[in-house]
Amino acid sequence: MSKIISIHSFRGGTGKSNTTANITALLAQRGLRVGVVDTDIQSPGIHVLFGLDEEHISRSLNDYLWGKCEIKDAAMDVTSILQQFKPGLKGQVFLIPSSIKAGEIAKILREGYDVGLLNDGFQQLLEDLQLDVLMIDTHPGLNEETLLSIAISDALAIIMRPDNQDYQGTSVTVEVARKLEVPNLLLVVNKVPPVFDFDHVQQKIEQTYNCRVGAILPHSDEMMVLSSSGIFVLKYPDHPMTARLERLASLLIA
Amino acid sequence: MIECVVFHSARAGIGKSTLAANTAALLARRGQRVGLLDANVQEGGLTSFFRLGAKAIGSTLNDFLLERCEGLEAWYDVTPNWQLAPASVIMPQAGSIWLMPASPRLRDRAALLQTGFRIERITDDLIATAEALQLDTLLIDTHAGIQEESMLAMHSLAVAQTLVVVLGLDQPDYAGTAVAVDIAETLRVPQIVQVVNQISTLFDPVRVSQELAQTYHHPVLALLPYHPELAALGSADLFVLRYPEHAITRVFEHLAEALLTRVDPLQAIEQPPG
Repeated sequence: MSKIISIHSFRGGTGKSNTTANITALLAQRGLRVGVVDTDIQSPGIHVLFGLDEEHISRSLNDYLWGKCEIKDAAMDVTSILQQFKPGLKGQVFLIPSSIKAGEIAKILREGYDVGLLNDGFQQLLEDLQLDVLMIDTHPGLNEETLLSIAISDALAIIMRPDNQDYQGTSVTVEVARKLEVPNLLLVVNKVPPVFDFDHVQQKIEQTYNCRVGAILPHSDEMMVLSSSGIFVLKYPDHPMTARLERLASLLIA
Repeated sequence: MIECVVFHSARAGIGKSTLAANTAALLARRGQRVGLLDANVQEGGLTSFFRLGAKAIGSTLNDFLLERCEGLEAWYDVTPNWQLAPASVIMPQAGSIWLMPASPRLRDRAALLQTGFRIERITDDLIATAEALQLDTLLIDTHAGIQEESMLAMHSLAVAQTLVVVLGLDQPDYAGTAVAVDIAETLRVPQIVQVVNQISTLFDPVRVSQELAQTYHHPVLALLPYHPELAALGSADLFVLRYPEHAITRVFEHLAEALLTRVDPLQAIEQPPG
């Protein structure tokens, strides 16, 4: 039975794309076929983590939304890129990038698109690519495409930092996810300063939001350096951060 | 004339708001009347630095842009209680901080996206309210990136004397920064400076600032390492007032100084504290 997992945050800069890419890699390591859709049409970014730039991307989610191609035609098999880090990686990973051409981003923002097409596209992808898991990397905030991806998700991870600026928006997002009856809802606390007591942070967040915390992820210098140009869990398989992300991956596909 | 400074970054979470709020505190400490505008109307969080709770907020920037209010009622006096600050922080003529927050209410955010606003609101009309408040400096904190939500930032550059580009050191920053700098140059913003934040101790700071200065032809004013004490505050307070002697505070002070005096920053690149 295939699953849709959305990774979301109310504010930007919480590490959403990074977490998405790492969970994707971990699931692929378990031998699963995983698709990743970048629905952050306004500010796409996850392609960079898979080592792709403008010249690698010929078709994008935008082309599908404009009716120029089937969504599967926009899917890029990026398994070999992950295998460079991790030879013998068993699963398969397909990335459906958003366009990173400035003109195309401007066009879709100006003209809008039929958000219903996204849902059709997700279902089509699960079928055509025979995916076990479809990961959705969203745009921060609560816009139409975000609501849709939350509504159709089997699991949703809402990422926040232990920062006052993130609290109010996160609680609104948790409430919305509850109303939309997401079966498996988790909070992820990211970029936690190492000076904090992690158990205490987890307890406090779980109490405040009345929501399970799927992972407490510390700020990490290695992660910052690698930040947007590689996949941490493949590069540092024995790092404690990788173990934390492994547990999160298990909770998300449970 | 009001000195207007815009803080922008290509990516969110780099520390733009932290920098804007702490700069406001340092300028006020020197006796200035400082305005702080939260132009991040979708995700704004500047109120948390001043402990201005959502319930205490009536009119906001959203109301001002939508012409539901004149402007003065959207400015809130958030001047720190100088008496509570450590003695070393207080200057004889401490000034004040005025914050125009973005609305914490989702309804107001949606209203702005739906109806839009006249561009003059963020240029001429905003400056008029700042003048009415007799502000010396207006600091504008923006939405990251170059996207729908950042248009406000781009418009505000039209009235800015300084653009502070805040950047981390990962790949997407480079592309986004180039676009913001391009727009500021086209609008002939007199001073464009870069501040690098949250850099890993694994980088060589001298090389980083040289490379950035060469790439964008604008000076690097400060390099700030990731600092757990600053992160641990979680945007709940003003670091520079709580830790007046801290090495990071000195870097913030250097930045505030440069914004005030417009010394040639190329001559004085501040190294991160060791």
